[in-house]
Amino acid sequence: MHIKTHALLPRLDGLLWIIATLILVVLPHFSHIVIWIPPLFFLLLLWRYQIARHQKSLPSRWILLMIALVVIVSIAISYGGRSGIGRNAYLGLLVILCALKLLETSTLRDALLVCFLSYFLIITNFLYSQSIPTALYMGVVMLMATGTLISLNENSLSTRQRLRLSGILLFQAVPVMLVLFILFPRVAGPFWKLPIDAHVSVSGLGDTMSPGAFSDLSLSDEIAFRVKFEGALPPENQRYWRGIVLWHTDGHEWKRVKSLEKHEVKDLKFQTTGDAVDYTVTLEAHNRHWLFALDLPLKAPHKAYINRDYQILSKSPIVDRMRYSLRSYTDYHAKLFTPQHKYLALQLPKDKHLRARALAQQWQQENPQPQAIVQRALQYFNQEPFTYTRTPRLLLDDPIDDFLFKTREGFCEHYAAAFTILMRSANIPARVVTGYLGGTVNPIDHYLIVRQREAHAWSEVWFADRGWVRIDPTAAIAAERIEKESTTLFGFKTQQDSHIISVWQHIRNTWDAINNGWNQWVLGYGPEQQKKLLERLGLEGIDWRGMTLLLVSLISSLLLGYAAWMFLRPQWKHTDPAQKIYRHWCKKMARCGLHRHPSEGPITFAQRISVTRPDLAESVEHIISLYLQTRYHSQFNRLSQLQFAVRHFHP
Amino acid sequence: MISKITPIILDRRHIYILPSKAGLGFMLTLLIMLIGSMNYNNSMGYVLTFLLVSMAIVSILHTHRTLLGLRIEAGKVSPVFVGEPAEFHLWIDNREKATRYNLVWQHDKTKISNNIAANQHVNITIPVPTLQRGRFFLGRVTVYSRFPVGLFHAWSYINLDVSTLVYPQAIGHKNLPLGQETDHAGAGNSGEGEDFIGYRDYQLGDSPRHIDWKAVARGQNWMIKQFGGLNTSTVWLTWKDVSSLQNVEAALSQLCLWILVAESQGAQYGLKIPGCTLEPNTGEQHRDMCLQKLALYH
Repeated sequence: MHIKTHALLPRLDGLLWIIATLILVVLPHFSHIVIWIPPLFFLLLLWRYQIARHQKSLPSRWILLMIALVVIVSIAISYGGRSGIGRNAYLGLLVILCALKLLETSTLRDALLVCFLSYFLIITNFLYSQSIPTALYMGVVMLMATGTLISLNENSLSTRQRLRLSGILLFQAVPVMLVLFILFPRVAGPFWKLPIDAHVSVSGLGDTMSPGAFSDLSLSDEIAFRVKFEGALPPENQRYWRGIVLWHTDGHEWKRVKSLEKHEVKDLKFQTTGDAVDYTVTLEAHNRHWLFALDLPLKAPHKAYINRDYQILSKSPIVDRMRYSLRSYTDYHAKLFTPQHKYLALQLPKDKHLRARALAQQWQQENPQPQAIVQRALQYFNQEPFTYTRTPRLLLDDPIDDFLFKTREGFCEHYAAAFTILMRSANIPARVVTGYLGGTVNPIDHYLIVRQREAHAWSEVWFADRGWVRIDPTAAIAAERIEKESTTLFGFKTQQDSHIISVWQHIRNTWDAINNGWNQWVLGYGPEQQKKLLERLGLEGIDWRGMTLLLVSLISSLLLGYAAWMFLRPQWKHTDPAQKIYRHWCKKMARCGLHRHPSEGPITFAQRISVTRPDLAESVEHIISLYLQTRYHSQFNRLSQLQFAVRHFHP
Repeated sequence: MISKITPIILDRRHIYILPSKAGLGFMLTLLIMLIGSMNYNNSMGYVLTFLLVSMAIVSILHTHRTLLGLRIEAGKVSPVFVGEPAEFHLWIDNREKATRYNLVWQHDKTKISNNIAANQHVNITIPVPTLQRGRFFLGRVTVYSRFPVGLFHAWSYINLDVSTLVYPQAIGHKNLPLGQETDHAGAGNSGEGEDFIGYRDYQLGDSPRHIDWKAVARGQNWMIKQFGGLNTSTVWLTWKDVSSLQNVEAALSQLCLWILVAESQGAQYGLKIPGCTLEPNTGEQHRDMCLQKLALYH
């Protein structure tokens, strides 16, 4: 036999606050957790509410334990197969355990625990999104959760008062929080291995290319990275952002060669001719190792290296937004060329692309100069009716030959692949490079924004005298045969020049600049930024003791300020409110010539008035008696009467 | 500790504040959240954790303010007999424009909680059990509050110099000592009046009609039922009459009972105990004077 506990605490209104807060905080999680958890969560909360409303007994611990066990097993089954027990599984479990905890809550202590858990649930939301809208929403949840904490401690307040008090507390907390945020010593995590699905899958550049296999190019407006240039921007036709180098083709698919990628190269065999371009890239998380750099970077940033493909690779996957500074040269001679490079750069699939090969060999016979063959190929793309379209027909048979001789329509991947095959057929080493081309400058904060839709593919050919040379065959297409790119607004295609578009562009730029500022200053604030900021404040080399001292003294002065504001005001309020009203009345009397002597008490003054102004005697007596009652007999309920009487006293 | 002549005003130096149990639990939650934020390098995690830390810190001021500036005054306390609870009244004056929420007044195991609205003067009653006669001091009252978020516990000690008299318990078996010292002969004669006023020991010559036969049947002493109106009589209540009782407290209790009986009968009564003689008189004031002497006898 177990003892049934009656759900006396929390009281119904406190419970409703807890339930409302829990629902608000769990709501954004519904998209991450397995589908059966939200209904179960609601059901458990409803159950608890019914128990409180009808003053029934709480369910026995055994029943709750059984539910918990069933839930654990179900979660293990739901997640075990697909993605493994990871963050989402733990989250689902936490959500249900919160509801179950509430079902056994009968003391203030338990209720407080659930309230603290709801604070904890807020933080779990930030593991999924830290955007401005999420932060604002969580601000509302904070307000509710703190209101819940107040409700559990004091139930005589109205809903409005609870929210107001909660708002005051949080509002006063913000400056203290800012001091802590900026000065609290930051360390670089993680300390332990994160769960397998700790980082949400994100879109990004793929590491293979299959021209002809997809009939629609991604038009995603998602941001790949942002760039802040130190000096002037490089000209638009130089903004090639180097990503992945693809070597091997089986006739359909192009792949990278991992053995080339793995090794760091010390000697880049790299000669620069033009000016350097310095810039800082803020790369969005893409869960891969590669970092994008303006063609070609000279040195890899911290915790990254340059490999034999002149590609920068991070030592760990980019799971968080990352910032890195680079120096690139747009004019260069890149001469790293090994026998392995040569072998791979001439590789052709067996018995495929026969017409393409024949064409290239024909060009080679006409003029064996490699430069001449490249020119011939570009000429071919320009003069034959090749068109650029983002929605080409599928090419399933032999993508290269079909493209070159039949459809003659496609996007960068088709051109880069076909060009590379033509070069290899003419015995010129060539490879495909993918990355991004271009980017648009946001006029608000002057960051260059590169979006996923700007993904691009081009070729590099090897000339014995000049090294690797970038050739973009897509750029060779006759301008009139490039499909006009239309701007989309809410998914509808509209005219480029319409007014609404410019307004929309402006809104979008502003929002993007705000987001970028948020990313740079709030979300990107870490150990390095803290160090830089302290240096800028003239506090370089400050040790932890100095930091602690600074932190404590800043917070103390803030608190002293609050204390002065909160506690010093009562001092002038301590002049009795009744006395204040009395003084006001004395002023009124003085206006009609009856001045109170400083030593004259209220009773003698009243007597003097009633002698000189018998018409006022009655009202004066009323006021004085009210005054004496409030001031000396502590009958504060008379205060409003006194106030009323003085206000309506017109001598 | 505040020990002053009333009223007491709770000032900054006399209000203490420490984290409550819930506050310690909250700190633990924050610590976990901080470690989580560090591990995931999660900026908003830091923001949330620091915001909660700051909220807790700021709440100290609010909790402190709940007590700050309260004026406490002791009200009148009526004397009681041993065993009855003494009811101490405290007048609490909130002269601020804000309500004081969730104040708890604690004296030993008694807890009284209240809210005091802005500019209000309220009265709370603290019942205190009495076990001994004499002067009884209220002693220390603790006032505390955890408003608004319950993470901090602010308290202050109030030592009001307020006391009350605790009279001896009014019990005893002896009847009023009428007879030898009665001035008006006959009026005090046992069994002459109409009202039953108590028992006395059997003496030779007592009328058998007045013997409490039921008590005799129970094997107790022979007791005489006394009747009589004493409204005009004068009684001396002396130490000699109760000296046969086993101890001082029993003697005082007997005297106490006699005083109450005599007063209720409207008699003139005087008190003669070592170190003090009160001439016969009547009335509440005289009664209270007599009871006070008994309470403070030592």
